[in-house]
Amino acid sequence: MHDQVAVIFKAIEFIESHLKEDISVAQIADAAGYSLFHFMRKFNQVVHHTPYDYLMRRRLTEAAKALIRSEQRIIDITQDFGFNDQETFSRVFRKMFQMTPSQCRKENGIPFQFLLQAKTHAELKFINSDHFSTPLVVEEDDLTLFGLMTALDDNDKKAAILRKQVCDDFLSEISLQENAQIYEMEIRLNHQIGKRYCFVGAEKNQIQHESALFVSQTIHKGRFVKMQVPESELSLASAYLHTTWIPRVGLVENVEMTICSWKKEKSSKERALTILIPVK
Amino acid sequence: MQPKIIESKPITLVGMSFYGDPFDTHAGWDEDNQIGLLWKRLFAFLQKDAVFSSLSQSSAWYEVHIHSEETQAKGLFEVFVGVTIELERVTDLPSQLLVKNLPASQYAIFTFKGEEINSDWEKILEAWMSESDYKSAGTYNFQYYDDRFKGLDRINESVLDVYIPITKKSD
Repeated sequence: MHDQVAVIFKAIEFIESHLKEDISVAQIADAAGYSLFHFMRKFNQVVHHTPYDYLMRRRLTEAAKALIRSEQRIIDITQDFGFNDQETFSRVFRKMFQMTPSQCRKENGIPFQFLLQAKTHAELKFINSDHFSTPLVVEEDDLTLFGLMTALDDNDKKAAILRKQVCDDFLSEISLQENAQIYEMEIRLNHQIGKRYCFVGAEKNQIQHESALFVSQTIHKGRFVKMQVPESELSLASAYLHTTWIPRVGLVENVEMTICSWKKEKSSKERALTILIPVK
Repeated sequence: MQPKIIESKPITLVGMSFYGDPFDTHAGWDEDNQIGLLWKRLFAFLQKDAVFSSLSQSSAWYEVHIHSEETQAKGLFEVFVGVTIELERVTDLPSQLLVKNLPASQYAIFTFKGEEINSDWEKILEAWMSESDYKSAGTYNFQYYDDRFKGLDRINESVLDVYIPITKKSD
């Protein structure tokens, strides 16, 4: 499998260097050194996208970035990325991002996690590792939590520091029962990039001493995509879920929150995280 | 690898078909791809059909890959799976089944054994074609499964023939 990942990664690199050109799946197969039929089978096995779907999603992602970051006219971006006309571009753009290119520009963005970044060798290795477990779709009941909440910065690095701080504060402020389940959530008010909040909490019966700072948050009952991963693979798993698995099975995310939970344990071994993403 | 060259009369097949990227599955990755699902759909139908259930007992099966204008660009093509049928029975077929006619042609037959079946054999076909005196005579090829093919779980004991329609380059 390792060799296959390496060969398919060559195809990924070829796609990256030809995103603005009119390339065919047959040319990508050639770059990997496979026949078209065999390549299509292997690409799907390794990347979990069809080659054409991957190519389109990469083009649309780069087009979305151009819409957000530049002042280029939409018609020019359409042509830059090889779409025949603006109508086709709008239709496929909407299919991927649930908004039109002009909405994307006006509202200044698409949440970062929905942009399909070029697959890295590390992500392909993660998808194809022996311990990779396919995500599940589950129904969960209402869950009310108590904990701390803060607004996050636009800047991802600063946001990560704030997130860690809220988490540390929550854990130091209270005494939790051993094995208590802790939930960390990122919550958005709307579709816009930037306006997001972080909440860290637990169920009331797990908290032995409450603090006046606590707020309550409810995860409303519904359908969730669930995946368990070691903490070190959280970012690989998130990218995979948001941009590959969820679109592929035909689900649409409820963009308001993503949830990550783990058990409070004394042992120093790596935490096993459960990712929960509400879906429609 | 040197193929066997034969002349074939027209072949009339009855079966079912899929168009798209056959590896594009929506349900998950442990399940069958669209080609596997197509075979299952065909067998399930034939076994239940009062008139044509005898076809499910056939010992030879065809999987035809038919390329279109979208094949090279997007990786989309037709996969037809089926079995031969006498021409006079064609008009009796129920709406669930399709007829596929493969014209009379010269074919190059490549025989693959064991793990070769899972390998990139199309590459071997392409390499032979570019070096031989022949060129492709159609936008399709087919895999021929008979009792020498024991199943994907017994691939090491299995044999598969792949047919490509050909004509002399000089023609």
